[in-house]
Amino acid sequence: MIKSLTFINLPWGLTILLSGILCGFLFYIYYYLHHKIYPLKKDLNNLERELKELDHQAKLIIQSDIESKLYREAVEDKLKKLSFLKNFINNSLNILDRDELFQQISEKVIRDMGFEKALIVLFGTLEEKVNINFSKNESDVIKHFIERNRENLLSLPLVSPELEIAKELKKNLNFEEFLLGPIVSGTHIYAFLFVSKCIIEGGMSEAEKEVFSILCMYLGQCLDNIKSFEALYQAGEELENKIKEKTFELTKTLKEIEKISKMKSDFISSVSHELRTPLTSIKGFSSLLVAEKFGKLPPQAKERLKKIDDNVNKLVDMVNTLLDISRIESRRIEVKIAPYDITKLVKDTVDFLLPQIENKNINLNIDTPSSLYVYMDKNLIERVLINLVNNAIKFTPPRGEITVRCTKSNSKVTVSVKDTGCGIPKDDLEKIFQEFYRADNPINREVRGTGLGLSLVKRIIELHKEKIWVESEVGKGTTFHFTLTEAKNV
Amino acid sequence: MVKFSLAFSDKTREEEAIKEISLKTKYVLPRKINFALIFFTPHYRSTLLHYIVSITMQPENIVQICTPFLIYENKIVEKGVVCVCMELGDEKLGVDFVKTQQISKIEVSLRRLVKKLKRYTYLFSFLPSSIDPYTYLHGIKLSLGKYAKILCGGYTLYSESSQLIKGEEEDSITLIGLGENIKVFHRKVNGFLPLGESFTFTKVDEERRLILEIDNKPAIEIYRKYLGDKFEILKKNELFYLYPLGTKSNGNYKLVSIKEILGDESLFYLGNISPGEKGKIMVLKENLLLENTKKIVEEEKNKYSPRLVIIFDSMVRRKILKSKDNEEKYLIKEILGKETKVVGAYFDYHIGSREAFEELAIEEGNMYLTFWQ
Repeated sequence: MIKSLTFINLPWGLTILLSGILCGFLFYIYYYLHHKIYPLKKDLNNLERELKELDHQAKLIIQSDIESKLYREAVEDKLKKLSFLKNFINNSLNILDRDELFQQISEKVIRDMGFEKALIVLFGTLEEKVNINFSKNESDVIKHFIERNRENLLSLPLVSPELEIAKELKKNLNFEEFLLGPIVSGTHIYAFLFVSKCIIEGGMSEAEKEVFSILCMYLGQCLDNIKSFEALYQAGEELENKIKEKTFELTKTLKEIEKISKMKSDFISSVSHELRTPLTSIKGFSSLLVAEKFGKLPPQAKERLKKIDDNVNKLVDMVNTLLDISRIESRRIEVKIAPYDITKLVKDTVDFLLPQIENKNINLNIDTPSSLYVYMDKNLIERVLINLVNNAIKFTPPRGEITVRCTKSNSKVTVSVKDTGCGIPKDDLEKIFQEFYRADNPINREVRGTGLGLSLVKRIIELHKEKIWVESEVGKGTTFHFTLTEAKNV
Repeated sequence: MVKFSLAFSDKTREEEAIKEISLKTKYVLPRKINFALIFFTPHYRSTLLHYIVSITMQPENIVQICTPFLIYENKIVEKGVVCVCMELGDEKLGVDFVKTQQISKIEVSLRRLVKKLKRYTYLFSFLPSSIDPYTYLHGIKLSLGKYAKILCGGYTLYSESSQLIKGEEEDSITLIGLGENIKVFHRKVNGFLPLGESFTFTKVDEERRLILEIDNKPAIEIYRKYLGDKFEILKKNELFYLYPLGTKSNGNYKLVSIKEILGDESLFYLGNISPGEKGKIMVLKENLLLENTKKIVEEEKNKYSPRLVIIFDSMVRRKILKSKDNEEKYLIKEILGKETKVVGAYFDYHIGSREAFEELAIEEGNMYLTFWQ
């Protein structure tokens, strides 16, 4: 510059001065620019750094966003599949037939759970129970694999393509994604479930593996239930058959008994009828003979004839009782149930039998309300009372006690006849109402009877649809109770 | 004034479903029905629906759209039929159908429809999967201009179940033109946020819709950069729809969805990009999206008091939002209130603009709300 200033012929001093000013100016510009640009440059660098930081933050945001989205996707997928599984369980929960259970595994069910194909093969026979979209060749490959790896499969809860054992299967099937799992019923493998999906789906998700395992377990549980049900059903069937068999046998026996009973009744009825006519004639003549209507009899003959007459009386009684029983059994008896005062009937009956009671010096107690109306056939109940009081007189020793009581409870009236006789042994209690049964006791051995009285009594009470029972203690006495229904508003 | 009726049925049989809808509709519109817009799920047979609607309700025009899901009032329905019927007074509404084989005639059809209406306020269009949306967009721009007031909902070949029906004729483009007396306003709702540094689409094959290079590197590198070790998961599961790219235009970002990664690591896209354009990776923030939806619906409600809202929603959006999508629809209905009917369908992509005087573009991942006054 100095050279150039020299060149335009300026004095040296001025040249140096101008040069100095110029240098100062340049230095000032440099200084100014340096101080102004430097912070800007610095700011620019800061901005670039911040931009880089923001870009880095953007990467982090995007990566955490995709992580959360994938996680959410996985959770939603799991929930969706579990919901489908729940629906499947709801629909198949009450199935109690194996084939019906397998029919539930439809293409829709398999698709809902995320698979395209499914196969269920029985472990023992390798029979196909379900085949959804597998070709014959593919199912043969799977069956062959199960057949060849029976032993190894027993210990594997799930076979997936990553396992060494499945490599051959993967190669033969040319499938990328599949699962094989056992369906265990009880302690044994019942079948195998094989599922697969297409390649483009992006592999088996954790949700699908879990759903598959649950499905296998659930099917096993269902098979257990079916097994229990079948066992129960079979037991029920057997029981039912046995009951049917026994019922049939019993019905047959009952019919036979009824037939025999009818024959017996018919026989008794006809025999009694046949007997009654000659007996009436015998009775008539014996009575006339005893009354010496045909002339005076020697004392010995009269005594014998008296005995004949007594026995004919007993025979007539017996035949009449037998005829009554027969009528009741064959429902030929006419029952006239009407309200009647039971206390009056008791008193009348006792009055009728009073001579015998007094004869044996028996103490009689009658414990009845002043009046108590019940529904009954007066004649039949009278016979019941006569029979029971008569029995009590027969078995009560002299100076013993007989109590006839009527008590009311709700709408029922219980009539009891109690004696202080020898009592009935426990073993005989059930049999005393049977026809011709006579308890073994000293009185029975002394006093002769037909064994038909209590049988008739029981039938009459049953005809009234009421109950009769006996309480007895050997050596202390016996009480007969029977019920009748109270007649209100009479 | 246009009278609207909205009826829904989820009865399984077509006859029963339409019978129910017909009864409800006749109650509101007893005189005549000029136009019936029906959205139905693939559970129903379209031809049967069309036949029953035409004999029971006898509308002058029927447009039926089969959609994977329906929006009815505050819920998203997986199975059902919903019908919007309109009785027009002095208002004009035109409907036209263009067979997909005659796509070259779309320009003529659009012109004819607009001429018929004298002045149109808005156009709606539904596109079947067999239609190339770019050809269609080109046709719109040639006939109506690049700022045309149109909203299209379309289905791609990737769609599982959608088809477009007009009576027995399937595979047609449906055009609905609204005359000047019908007042409709639309808003686009998106919840995608641009993130990270801007990049430049350095090499784009617009014809084949391929992004070949971004910042002079193979296009795929942009995802590798942001996704790090999660990139492979995304690639394997084809989850790129979660992170579309955005191109900046007039201060807003338009979505460019990545449909496939090709062998040469280029990206097959759906959207509009020109080489040299700046872009960013986009992330959908659900909370932001719900706030955005709330704000837009509140604004429009106060401004126009709409009586009917037709939603053109996006399948991609539903895939990303999942249960939040139901939440959003509930929110929309809650803001709009009882008096405003809400109905809608899901589409794979839309052709529309954010608002007037913005160039039309193909996008997926947005929701459009049309407010009918």
